[in-house]
Amino acid sequence: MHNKKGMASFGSIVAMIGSILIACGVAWLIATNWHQMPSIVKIIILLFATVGSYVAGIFLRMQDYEKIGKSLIVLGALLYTLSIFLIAQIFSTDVSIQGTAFLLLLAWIGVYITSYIFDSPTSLVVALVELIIWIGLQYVALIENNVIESYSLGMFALIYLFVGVLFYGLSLLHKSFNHSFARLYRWWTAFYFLTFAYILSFQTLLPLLWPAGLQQTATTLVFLVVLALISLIVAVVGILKAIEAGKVKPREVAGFIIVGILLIILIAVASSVSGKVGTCSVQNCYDLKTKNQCETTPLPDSLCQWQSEYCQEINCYAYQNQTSCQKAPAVLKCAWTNDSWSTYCVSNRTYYEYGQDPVCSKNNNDRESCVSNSVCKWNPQYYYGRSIEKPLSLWFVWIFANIIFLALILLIVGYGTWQRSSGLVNLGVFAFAVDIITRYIGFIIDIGWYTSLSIIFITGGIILIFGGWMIERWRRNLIAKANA
Amino acid sequence: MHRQYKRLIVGVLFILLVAGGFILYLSWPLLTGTTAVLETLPIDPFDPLRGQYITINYKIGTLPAPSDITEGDTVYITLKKDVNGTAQFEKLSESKPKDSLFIKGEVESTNGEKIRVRYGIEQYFFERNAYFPTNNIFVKVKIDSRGQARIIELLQNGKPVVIDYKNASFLS
Repeated sequence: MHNKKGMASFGSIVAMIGSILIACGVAWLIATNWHQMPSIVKIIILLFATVGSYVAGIFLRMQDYEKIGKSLIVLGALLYTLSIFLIAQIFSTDVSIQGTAFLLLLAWIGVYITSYIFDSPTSLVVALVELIIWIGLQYVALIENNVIESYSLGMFALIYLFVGVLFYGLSLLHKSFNHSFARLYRWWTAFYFLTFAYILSFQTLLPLLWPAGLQQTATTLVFLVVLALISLIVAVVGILKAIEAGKVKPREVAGFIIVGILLIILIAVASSVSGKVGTCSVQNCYDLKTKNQCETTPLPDSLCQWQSEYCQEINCYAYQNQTSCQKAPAVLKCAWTNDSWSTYCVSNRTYYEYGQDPVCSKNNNDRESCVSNSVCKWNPQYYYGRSIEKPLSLWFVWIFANIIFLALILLIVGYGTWQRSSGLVNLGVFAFAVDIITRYIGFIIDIGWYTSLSIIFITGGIILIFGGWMIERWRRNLIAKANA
Repeated sequence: MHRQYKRLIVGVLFILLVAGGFILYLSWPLLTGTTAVLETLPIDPFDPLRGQYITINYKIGTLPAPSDITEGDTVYITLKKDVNGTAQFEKLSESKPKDSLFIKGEVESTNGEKIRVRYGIEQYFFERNAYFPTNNIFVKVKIDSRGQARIIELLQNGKPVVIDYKNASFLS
């Protein structure tokens, strides 16, 4: 995968894309054309394809066909993952999120352990991606049967922060044992934290971190605590082992701890905008989850009726003749109407844009008042109502998030230069370029519509061309320093 | 060189062990279970990772709610065969019944009056371009001694449903 300079060669990238394409092709072929085969034949095909890829990959690697060999091992990892899902399909197993999370866990265990047995860093990357997806799915599965308010991106953020701590611990453990995966883990940890901080730097996301305050379900809390304990134990052991082996300097560990604390503070501080950004609008019948709510909530201009398991709205179209239409409940504001096509019963009520109705919109940006009114519902996504002002606290939290992201970029660039790692320097500079482009696009979305688009584009173009030249010069200087 | 061969053997055995264990776990009710036929109401979604499937709503999927049941609880449904040989709901308990045909489920939701129970057999996979009847469908399952069920086949009027694959090609 890597040439002498540690960079991925063109040939290895093409071979890797080839293995991913083959895996996709096999998946598609199997998923659409194997109904005529008995289950046992399907299973044999899957296992032979997986084992065959691994065996061919190892043999080719031993014969000095490194790149193709490594690609085939990755193909083996992908085919093994597909096999787990397709075996589950053969047995028609549970399609709930928990069922899918279980399959992914099984796939991750297999790919992770075989990446060590076969000494394959690229296969390890597949395993790490699968771990990240599994963690997310498992969290969603734990809240699957609960009410939507239990869903909190803040909890997600904390869970993924501890996954980052786990990666750092694993990175140090591998470093202390001089394991060949140590460099990959180091790069992966930096990439992971940059992506994490980048996602948190979006203003739209911040009010969604704690949409209903710090309210959580017991299962998600247990999941967080277990994950946090495992991550912290691995991190502490990794730090102690690396210090003992003289593989890490205290200032590197201190830098990591400071980044971790800053990110926890950011996630916690986001709760200060909880309930202060969002739209308040009138509920509809489908929002009422119990029979009692359905039958007693006095929704304006609506009449609800409990069907065996859900609350349904009665509308004027249900009244099919003039007499029944005129006798319809007054709240529906039904009127018998003639048009060129036919006659029917129609509602004369006024329809409002989301978050603009006269009953609930006065509670926009105020969750507490909104939910205290039984006819209103709260939505923390402020962009549903363009006219809703963003509170000052949101701007402060957003600026803080962006300062952390920039500080992390500088830290990784500095660390890469110190450690003479061109991979880390390139990663940091790339993150900086992505940040500039993202904030520029955000600027257009927020302010661009109110001013001349031509000015915005010309200014943006100048910034990007000049910025691109400066960033490239900066990157070359840093690489030269790192390689010196 | 010798070490690489050893690693290859260990790695392949590990993969086969995990996959084999998974297959055995999934096959266990089919190998050891008792056959039962359940009444259904199907609908038709799609799973991007695993392909086309029908979601099966069982008649025993919605039951009267006992007072002390909450979402996520494990329940055991005792089944009794009617005159047509279809397994019908007899009683619900939170502990494993003895000496009777029962199926294990998890309470998915409750509205105070009724509960929705999942048995893990609410889906049946097939490939694209499949055509088959969707009304009056029954499902033949095998249920093992722990109450775990696996689907054997779909039935209509007591006979296995024949899935007709129209326009299916190698490139479809």
